[in-house]
Amino acid sequence: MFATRTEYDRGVNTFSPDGRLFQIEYSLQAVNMGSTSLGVCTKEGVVLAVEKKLTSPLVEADSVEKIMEIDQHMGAAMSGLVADARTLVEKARMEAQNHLFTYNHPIRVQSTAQAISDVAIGFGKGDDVPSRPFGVALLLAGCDERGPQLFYTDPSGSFSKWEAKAIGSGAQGATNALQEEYNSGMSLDDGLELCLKILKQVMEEKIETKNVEVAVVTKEEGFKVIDEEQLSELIARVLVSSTNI
Amino acid sequence: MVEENRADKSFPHVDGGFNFENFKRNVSFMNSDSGIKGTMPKAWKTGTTIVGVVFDGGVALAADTRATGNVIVDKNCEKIHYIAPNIYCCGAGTAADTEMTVSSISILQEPLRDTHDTGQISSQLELLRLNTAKSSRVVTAMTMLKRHLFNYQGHVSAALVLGGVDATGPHLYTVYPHGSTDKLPYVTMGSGSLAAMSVFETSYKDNLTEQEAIDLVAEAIKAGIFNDLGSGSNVDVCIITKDKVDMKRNFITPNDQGPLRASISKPATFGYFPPGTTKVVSTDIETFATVTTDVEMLEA
Amino acid sequence: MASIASSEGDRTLDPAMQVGGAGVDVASSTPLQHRFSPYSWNGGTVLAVAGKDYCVVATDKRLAEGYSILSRKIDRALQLTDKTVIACGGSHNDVEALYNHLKLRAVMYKYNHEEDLSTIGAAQLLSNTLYYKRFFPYYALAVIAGLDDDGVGYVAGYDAVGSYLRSRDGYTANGSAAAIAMPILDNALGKVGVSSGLDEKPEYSIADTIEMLKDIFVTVGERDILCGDAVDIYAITATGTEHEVFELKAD
Repeated sequence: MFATRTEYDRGVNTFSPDGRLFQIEYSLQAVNMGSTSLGVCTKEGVVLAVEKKLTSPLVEADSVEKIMEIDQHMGAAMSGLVADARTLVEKARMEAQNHLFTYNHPIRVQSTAQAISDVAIGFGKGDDVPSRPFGVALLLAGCDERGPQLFYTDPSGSFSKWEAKAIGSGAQGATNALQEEYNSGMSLDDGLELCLKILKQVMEEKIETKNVEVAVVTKEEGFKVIDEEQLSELIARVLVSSTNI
Repeated sequence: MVEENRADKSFPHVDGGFNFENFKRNVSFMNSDSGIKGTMPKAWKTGTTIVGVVFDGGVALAADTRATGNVIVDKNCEKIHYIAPNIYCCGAGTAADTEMTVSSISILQEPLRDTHDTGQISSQLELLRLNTAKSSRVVTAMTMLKRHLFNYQGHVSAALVLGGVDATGPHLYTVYPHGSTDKLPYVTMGSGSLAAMSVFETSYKDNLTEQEAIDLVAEAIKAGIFNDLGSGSNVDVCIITKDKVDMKRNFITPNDQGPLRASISKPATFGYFPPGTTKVVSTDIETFATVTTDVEMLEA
Repeated sequence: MASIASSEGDRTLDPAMQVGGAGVDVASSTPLQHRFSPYSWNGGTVLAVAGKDYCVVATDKRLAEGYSILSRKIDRALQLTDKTVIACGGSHNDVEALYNHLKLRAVMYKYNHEEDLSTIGAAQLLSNTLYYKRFFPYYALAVIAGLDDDGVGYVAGYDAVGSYLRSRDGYTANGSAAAIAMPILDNALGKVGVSSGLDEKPEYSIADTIEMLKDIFVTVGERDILCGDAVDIYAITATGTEHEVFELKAD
């Protein structure tokens, strides 16, 4: 097994005899090692929540940004190599602005997911993309005429639409929790609470405003990052409800 | 001598031909870089189909009735002009040139009338008939026209179909703006000349009867009306025989818009202008003089 | 020699020898230049009227060049989507090239975004497409007509390099006889600056609008030599587009 791998995991465009691309599988592994990201889609909007792993107590928490705005109506959370995510988000932003310029209408969330996936699978083909697969997955949240939507894009170049999704190191536990507690009729507030509750469960550190980042996308207000004041309220609420259990 | 009789001596006397006093000024306008650069005003064109054919005992002339500027300026103009009691002429080209070259003295300006080389053809022929007591010949009219046009080197844009019957029989000519002429049994002129000629080349034969000639010229004009955008509206026909001229004004009207309009049931409020359409904003009447109706007796 | 003869009709004499003796001739004082001339002017008049829940666009079927009629049954309008029709006067080669490009873009849009290109989207796309050729323009005088995202009638007129405006009063005219037709539309439908004798402009039904456009085409056909033969009329509603041909005079 080990010998086979070392033979076929060198080039990014060499299949193993049993039909696998190891470099892509490794990149998926990079996502699994990343910090946990959650996305929950409700009828009122979409919630994105991530854990910020601060490597040192001296690092300024604000400088670590794991949820990024793509357009007024769309944002993305990331797990994996943050630097790689920037390339994808930059591409998504360009695609969104280009669509607005060309058609005088905001781009669809699904079209953006498609555009991100096109770049993800385009590794090694140009000057502005890495020669290896992207080591990052995105949770893409947005609102358009089709309502609030949550998409997941991964390094293999595929994307899929989800009601709720967890990625990163805590994905397994978080996914179980989502499966148990998510329901499609829940309110945006419930969604927010659920996200923070699950984050709290899967995080190694104690949850606080500095080590989580939360954003929502609604039809009315578009993409909004939850500010520190509101975040501490939410955390407090989650902490209270969990001590009650 | 003429000058001495003028009330306004400052008006330059024209010895003959056209007045060119604005020519240099206009050139400088056209070429100026100082912001007043402009374009010369556009003359109306007859943009025409005119035809003629010789038949047994006479000549048939015909014309369309459209005059075009930037838009169609006249939907039913007359392009068959009187030259002499036995001679008529169809005109194509710049409307002013065809009318002024061909038609009668009454519309001409005094300085032009007095001069020898722009005395217009119908007027000159009238005078010639008075002096000679003989009816005009078509060849005379043709020669006068070509001399006039050649003199102006094509600047007088008149393309003519000249037809008539004189002591020597029926004659049909074309006269081109530069002064060249043709004498032929069937001729066409104007922007629709090719469309009309295609009809002649298909259907003309020698020794046509009068009715055949009428039908043929009408068909030729219709070809111009429908296939040449410069020509349109109605067909005018003029039949000249030895003793008679039959001017068939609007002989065919194939472009009546009545049926088209009738097929449309437009809303009553569309294109309806009741009294008060133009709103009165304010009224102010000023009296300049008072007219009395009192009657006064005068001393005889 | 100030002038070079280009055809039989031009003057070849030295200007100083010409009648009048002014020495310079207005018409031929500049040298004749042979230039690349890729455009022709084929006429084409487009009128469009938008209503509350409909849109009507009408364009004539005469293809002309100079004093010649090249066709009496040309299609000047493009049904881009169920809800959008574009029609153009101008140089018909450019119009067709533009249509082929837009058709491709609309098809690709549907593949990529899984829905029809909206009228507003098509309007912006058309503008960008025209401006993209700012220094070698498509000679296309376009009108776009359709229903917007709310199902309300949408009409916009363009210049050849992509400037466009959605008509505030819901009507526009472009192409050959636009200057003759526009005052008629102003009078019938304009809400500002025009008097019509009516205190308030009526809201016409789609059927009335079609009849009105027919009447205007008969009127402008009387004066514009490039306009005639027949009119394509497209009536766009939420349930689809209906097309009819109305015959005009052929002279």
